[in-house]
Amino acid sequence: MTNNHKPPSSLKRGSAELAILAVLAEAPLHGYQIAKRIRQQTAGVVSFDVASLYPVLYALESRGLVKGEWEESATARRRRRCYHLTPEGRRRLKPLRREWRDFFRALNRLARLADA
Amino acid sequence: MPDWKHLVSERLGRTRLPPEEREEVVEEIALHFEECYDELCEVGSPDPEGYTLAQVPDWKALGRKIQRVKEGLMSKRIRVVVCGMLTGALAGVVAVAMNLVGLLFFSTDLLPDIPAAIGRASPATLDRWMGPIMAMAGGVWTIWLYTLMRSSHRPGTKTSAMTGLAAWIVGVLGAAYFSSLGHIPLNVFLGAALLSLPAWLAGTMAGALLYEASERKPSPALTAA
Repeated sequence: MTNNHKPPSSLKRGSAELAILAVLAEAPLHGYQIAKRIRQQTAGVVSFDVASLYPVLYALESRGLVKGEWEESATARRRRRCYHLTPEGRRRLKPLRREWRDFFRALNRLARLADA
Repeated sequence: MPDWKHLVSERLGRTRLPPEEREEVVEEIALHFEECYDELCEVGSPDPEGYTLAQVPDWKALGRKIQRVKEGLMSKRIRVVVCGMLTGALAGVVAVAMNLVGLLFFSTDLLPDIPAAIGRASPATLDRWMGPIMAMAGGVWTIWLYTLMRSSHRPGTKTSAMTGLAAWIVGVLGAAYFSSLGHIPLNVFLGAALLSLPAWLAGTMAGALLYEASERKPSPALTAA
């Protein structure tokens, strides 16, 4: 058996999807704010950099789960692309949250069993 | 402060994205870097530029990923239409095949009359195309229903079968109404309803499978690149 410490890519992709949809469910944000909000809410445990954030964000947009729109800001020096959750994204978030809750409950049960 | 837009554009390299789309990606990433750099400067980072750029260890890989996502996926609307048309077409083909198999086994004496019957039954172009058009429209509606159902159920065969069954029930109810008015003879209605169930289930499952595949996989041209 190989000793691979990296989580499988499907797990990473799923968690990235949940993290982005969850923060966008609270408020529309632009890319940097999304990464910052995730880092703050998870106390730095989950963090996104440019290389990991934008491919996932664009994939979610292609699937119609989020929508990005350029916004001109009076205070900002440049326009920003602000993302918000679409109705389909909101529908997708509900079962996604349930799946991940079930997954972590199962892991918890397993860990307790291993400790005993 | 570095010219982030120029730097991102240079490092991202050439992509096959349309120029406006590439420009938007460059602008968005440059703005991300700029904000990150500003924040690092505020907290007194010894090397804000280095830390900012360290976010992308492999620019080529990032360019490929973005290109695959942006270029390789059809929009949801197009996927629903394409996969729905396939659903309707496949359901039609399966139903016709089942009809022919039925004739072959139970009414072999009718087989020689089929070409002539088809010729008699299709006098006008609109009439000839109405069946396939209705089947494809029904397929598009079915796949649209599948996209709704997979939000609350898991995407997959079970959900697609449930969707196919739901679409079949709606279709049969509609046909039953016309049959009750006398537009469709009862024996024709019952035969068609029975035959269309497996056909519609097979069509929906194939259409849903294609829908899922088109969501996850980039186009073959991009995979080759």
